[in-house]
Amino acid sequence: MSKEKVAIYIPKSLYEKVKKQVEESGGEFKSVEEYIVFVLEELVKEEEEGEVYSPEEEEEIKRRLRALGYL
Amino acid sequence: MKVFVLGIDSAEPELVFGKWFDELPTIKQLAEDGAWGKIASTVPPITCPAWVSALTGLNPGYFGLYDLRYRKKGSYTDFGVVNSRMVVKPRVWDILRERGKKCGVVFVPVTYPPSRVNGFMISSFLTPTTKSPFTYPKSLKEEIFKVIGGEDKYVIDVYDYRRKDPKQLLEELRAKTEHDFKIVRYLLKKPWDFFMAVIMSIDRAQHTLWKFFDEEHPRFAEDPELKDGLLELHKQIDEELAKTLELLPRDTVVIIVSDHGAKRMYYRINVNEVLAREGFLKLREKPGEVISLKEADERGLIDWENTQAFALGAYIAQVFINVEGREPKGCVKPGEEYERVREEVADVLRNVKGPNNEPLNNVVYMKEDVYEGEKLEDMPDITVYFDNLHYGANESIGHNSIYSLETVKGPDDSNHGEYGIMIVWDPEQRFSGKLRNLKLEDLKSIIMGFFE
Repeated sequence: MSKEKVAIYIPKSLYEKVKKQVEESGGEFKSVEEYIVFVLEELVKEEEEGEVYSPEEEEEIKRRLRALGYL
Repeated sequence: MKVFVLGIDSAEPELVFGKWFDELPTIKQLAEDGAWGKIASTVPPITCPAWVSALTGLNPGYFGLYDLRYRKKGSYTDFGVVNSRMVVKPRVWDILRERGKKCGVVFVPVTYPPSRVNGFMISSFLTPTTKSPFTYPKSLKEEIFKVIGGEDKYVIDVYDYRRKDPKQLLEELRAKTEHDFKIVRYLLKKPWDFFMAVIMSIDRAQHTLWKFFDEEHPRFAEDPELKDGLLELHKQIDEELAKTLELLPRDTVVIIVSDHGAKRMYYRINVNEVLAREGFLKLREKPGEVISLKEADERGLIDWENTQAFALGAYIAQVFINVEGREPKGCVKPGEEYERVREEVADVLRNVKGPNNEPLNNVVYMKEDVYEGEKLEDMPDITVYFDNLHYGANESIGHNSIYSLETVKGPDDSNHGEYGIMIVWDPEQRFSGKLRNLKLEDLKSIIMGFFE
């Protein structure tokens, strides 16, 4: 990911909520920024990901389901 | 308050609470000190829809779940494998995350790909390979590999049970049970408020080991080494559970639950053969050998333009009407014609008899009577339990009979049963006695009740 950054504005109340989550995360997140970047990346990834299984993975699962008697 | 849930996939109430109750001291003690009873599984009583309904509290029709696979839109036999993205409603851990509760979710079906939980997650048997990202957080995978002695020791599932010698299968299932509980007990040391694990080995065992203990089974086989095989697996889980309970904090509620049961299977009904004989399924040419519906479709043997109904399913028949506008080459008009054809098909399937012309107790469900939700349209138009699940189903084509002992993949001794088990043991004893009239979908509210 590019190192270049941009600034965005979010409601202060949301910021406070996220800050609280970060504090309670037990060190999982070090800052509000890190938390927000993580959540957005996960969201974007989910939308970009498309298929859950690669063709090879799907074939492997189907092979097992056939052995289990489901296909 | 903490809640620990152990799911025992396919645990049958008549065995666990009946025939073998005295042989399972840990389970028996929890039941007698808590509340217990059989619970109604989902329609159909199949692992994927069942566990999703249990943990969302919603009907499988909200997710379009009726099997371990689903028909892809715009196709008859292009199947996708069920995955966690289909679960579009929150499960218990999604709700608890909002409340800041820590969750451990281990081997629960339909959790691949894993989602971000407030805690940790290991996906279940629909994980493709050990290279796939099957844990949350991702780093947990390496940790788990270390616990069991390396990636090559990690077992996703024991699945090839029809080709294996039953004795070898039993050994592999015992090892898998040990493997799973080892991981469970390791993870219990992490922080959690809700912890749930599902053990699959009983489900895998029943299809092959049932005939060795059940003298009423038509293919009952005497084998001193395998006679108690299925019981031994139950006892192993009971012992592993006892060791696991020792690690739980005092204020932990313990719930034991199964998603469906099991019962002896006599035969399978070749449903597409029945539909072809009655003229609902039109073949351009009958294959010279038994092949899957998918293969028949790919070979161009099915005359879809003139087919009114076809069936899927290995244990429970899922019948789809070839509806115009909904199916790629649909020929049955929605509305009156659909209702008429569906009633005719249902009538035929309701009246399927046994090989000696004996009546069968076939249970036929119409879609809207058992399903609801946003994906209602994807659900089968008719769901059939042949002989109330003592007969399985078979979707393959090219049989000379409407009965088979096996699918193209091999024999099978047991079908799924329509009831599962539930035990709720509450340290504050708010639950006691017999649980009655509960459905699997009630699990969600029972769990959430302890966090109110």
